[in-house]
Amino acid sequence: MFRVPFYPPSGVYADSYEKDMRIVKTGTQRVLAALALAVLVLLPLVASSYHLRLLIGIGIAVIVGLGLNILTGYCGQLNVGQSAFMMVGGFTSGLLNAYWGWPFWAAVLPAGLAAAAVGVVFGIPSVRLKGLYLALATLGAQIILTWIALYGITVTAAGFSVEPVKLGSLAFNTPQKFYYLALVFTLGMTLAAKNLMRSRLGRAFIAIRDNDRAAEGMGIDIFRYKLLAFAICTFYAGVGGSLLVHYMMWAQLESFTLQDSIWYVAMIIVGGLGSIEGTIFGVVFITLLKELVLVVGPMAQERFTFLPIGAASGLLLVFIGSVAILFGILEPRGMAHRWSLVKAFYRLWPFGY
Amino acid sequence: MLTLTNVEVKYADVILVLRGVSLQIPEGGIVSLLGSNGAGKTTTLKAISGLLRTELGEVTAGAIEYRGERIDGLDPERVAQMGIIQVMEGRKVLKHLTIEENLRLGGYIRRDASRADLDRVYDYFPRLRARKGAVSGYLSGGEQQMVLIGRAMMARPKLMLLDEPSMGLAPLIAAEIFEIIRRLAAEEGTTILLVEQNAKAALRTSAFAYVLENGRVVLEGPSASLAENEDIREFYLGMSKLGEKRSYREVKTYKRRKRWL
Amino acid sequence: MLVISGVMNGAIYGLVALGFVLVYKSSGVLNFAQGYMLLLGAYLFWFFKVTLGAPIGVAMAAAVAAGFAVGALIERLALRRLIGQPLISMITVTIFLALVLEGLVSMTWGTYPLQHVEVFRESTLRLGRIVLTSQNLVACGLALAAAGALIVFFRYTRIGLAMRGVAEGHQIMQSMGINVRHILNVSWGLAGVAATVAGILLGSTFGFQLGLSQIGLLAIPAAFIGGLDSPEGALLGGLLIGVVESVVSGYVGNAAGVPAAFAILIATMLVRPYGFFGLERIERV
Repeated sequence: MFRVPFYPPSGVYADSYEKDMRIVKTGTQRVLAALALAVLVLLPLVASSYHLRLLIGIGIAVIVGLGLNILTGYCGQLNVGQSAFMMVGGFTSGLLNAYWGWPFWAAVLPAGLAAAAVGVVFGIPSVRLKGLYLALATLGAQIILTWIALYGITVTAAGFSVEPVKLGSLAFNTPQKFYYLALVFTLGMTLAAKNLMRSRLGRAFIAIRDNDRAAEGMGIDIFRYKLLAFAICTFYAGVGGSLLVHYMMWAQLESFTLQDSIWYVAMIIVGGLGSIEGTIFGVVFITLLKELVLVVGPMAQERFTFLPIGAASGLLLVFIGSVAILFGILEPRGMAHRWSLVKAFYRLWPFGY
Repeated sequence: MLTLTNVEVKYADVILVLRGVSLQIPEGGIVSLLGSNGAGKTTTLKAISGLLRTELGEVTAGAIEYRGERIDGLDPERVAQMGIIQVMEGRKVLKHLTIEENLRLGGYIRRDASRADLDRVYDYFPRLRARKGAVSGYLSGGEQQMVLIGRAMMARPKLMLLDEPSMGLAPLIAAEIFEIIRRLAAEEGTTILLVEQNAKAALRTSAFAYVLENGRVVLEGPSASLAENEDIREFYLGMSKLGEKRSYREVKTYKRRKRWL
Repeated sequence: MLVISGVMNGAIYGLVALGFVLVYKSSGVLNFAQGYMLLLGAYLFWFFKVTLGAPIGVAMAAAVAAGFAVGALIERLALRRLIGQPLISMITVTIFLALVLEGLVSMTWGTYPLQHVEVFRESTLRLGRIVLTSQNLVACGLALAAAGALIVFFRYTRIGLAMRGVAEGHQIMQSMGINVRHILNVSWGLAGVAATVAGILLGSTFGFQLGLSQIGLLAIPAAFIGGLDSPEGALLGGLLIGVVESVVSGYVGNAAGVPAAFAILIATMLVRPYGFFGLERIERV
């Protein structure tokens, strides 16, 4: 895949590999990063609960989307059942909490691992094959897992309440408090993803995506690495699901539908496949778009009385579906690519090349 | 019949492959295009047939004219309909289809393609007639090459662009293929542009030849005289002046190549 | 009894699966929108029949024509612009197409089921203990006929042969002067036709409602089990899935049929990765 090379600001030279691989390369970047962090930390002081809830939703979606982007963007496999794996994580940690009294902190890791384990079970048959068969298997996973949760287990069918996250005597039960938890998790998981993808592992994934035969020839065990990518992807989903359940303090099936899975795919496509920053752009963009349609939709429904019942929900699908298709056609490398073009332009100006 | 004037080809707007190639292919007869790996032979063919456009390539300067009509920039389908069919290298048969289905697809663009066309191909390649129901992916290399040439014949082309038909074939089979090519030109009146690495066979088959090096035509002339050319003999035919042994110390390849450019 | 009704529905699934195969075979794209093309086709029929009040035959013909146009339009507007991009982009685009189609349907006709249309006169037929409705029989017969027609088209016509050729490589076909875009366009159109006919038949059995797309999803395991590139396999896979769905739903209940079909899909991957009738990959190095 063609990418815009990184143009460092003039005067900055990487004279060792360590320097070249750094995430934060210059002093300016350090300052900017610190500023951004400060803004994020201080935000709850000024933002309303509505905005914070939106931000929490974005944070959780970023975690889930990162997992998906590692699989789809870096390793070239498609997963259309991400929210089902979120559900596995969410229910695992919810059940551990509600029925065995495990605190969130103890339950979040098993939640991720359970999702990854279920993911691997579904992944094994399809990952063995060349081509995009994982897409079919994950569609199957979404349908089968939802069915099991609906008819196989009584508790999960009805939904159940879950305790909020507690740290000592502090309970993260308001958007203001949960915001910080979500922030810490999102930043942590983002950094982990960024680091993972610039390691040996990340390079192996990219090699498989770009040419699985050549990768095999270089001694990369495709089956193992594809499965590993899928396990990482579903692990992220599991952690995200666990966070969501503890945030809502209620675990229910309706939070994890096929449509949600497709939103995640839309997010990473719009944001940029194979880009950590892109995932964040995409999640923010699609979430805001959804929010916009949710506001505009009912208004349109009220204004134009000839529209049938349910037209507003249709509008959402058409709108976001079209946006994602347009991105796929016009800017397949997503917003992340645009952003790097802007950065390159700014750094190289006034010289085009 | 076909004229290339100073054709320049770039891939992805960046990689300059042909730097001003001029060729003249007269009606009837065989012209061969020689050159080492990466010289731009295949690119030249794809520029003519228009297939370049399917792989991010573009004719950026010069002109390709077929019977006085510009054809650079046309869709490959259009060029094929005008009577120029390219036989791609690498034995690209339609693997899962049978021999006969491959041939029938070759005649797809001619609505009047008939049984007679099939028979004509089978007369040239009796071996294909015997195995016409066989899945082409499992044929031997020589048979696949025959399918390709036969498939191109089905379209009754005026000009056939043959890309390395002898590649990877046993010498005996290769000789058979070259014989067929000669017959095609003589009996069917098909003009042929032959790209080859097997310079010896190509020079024997064709009347006129061009040598391509680094995206430029460096030598041209009647095949017979080229076969006598010292440089050609040394670089492409692997012979020295008098056929005597020479030590590598005396080979001044660099200098001699320099003279061409 | 369950087996019989499974075969009845299976014929329709087979028809949908056939549309899936048409697209996959010629372009390698897994068309996740197939079930939603079915939905749109069914609703278009309803529109011609009920809203415009056309007679059954006319409404069907109009819907089928519209189905072809929808398929061809999708190819023209979306998929064609993606030629040359990785397969994964094309497949994701079909996923979003599914969203758009579903959204369009619910924007135009709402989310509630539409008024029932009696397509075929109801009468029942008894064969010993087995009860068949004429509705089922006619639907099954029509589905089989349509599927058969598509298979014959694919096997024996010039364009059908070209479609099979396109599946093997676009550049080879272009070198022979065959217009690949045109062929792909026709494939998508025919996929739209298959989906529409199936949609009309399913709609007249289960009612015209958004849930039809779910049933359309069953075409995916059906196509896979048969081998994604085999039209005959798709039909047989459809029949198999129909029987499995009906038997499992009958004994287990709780709409277990759909997950069971996908479980079979995953199991098939383990034993026969290219399905039971798919072409083996010929790889010569």
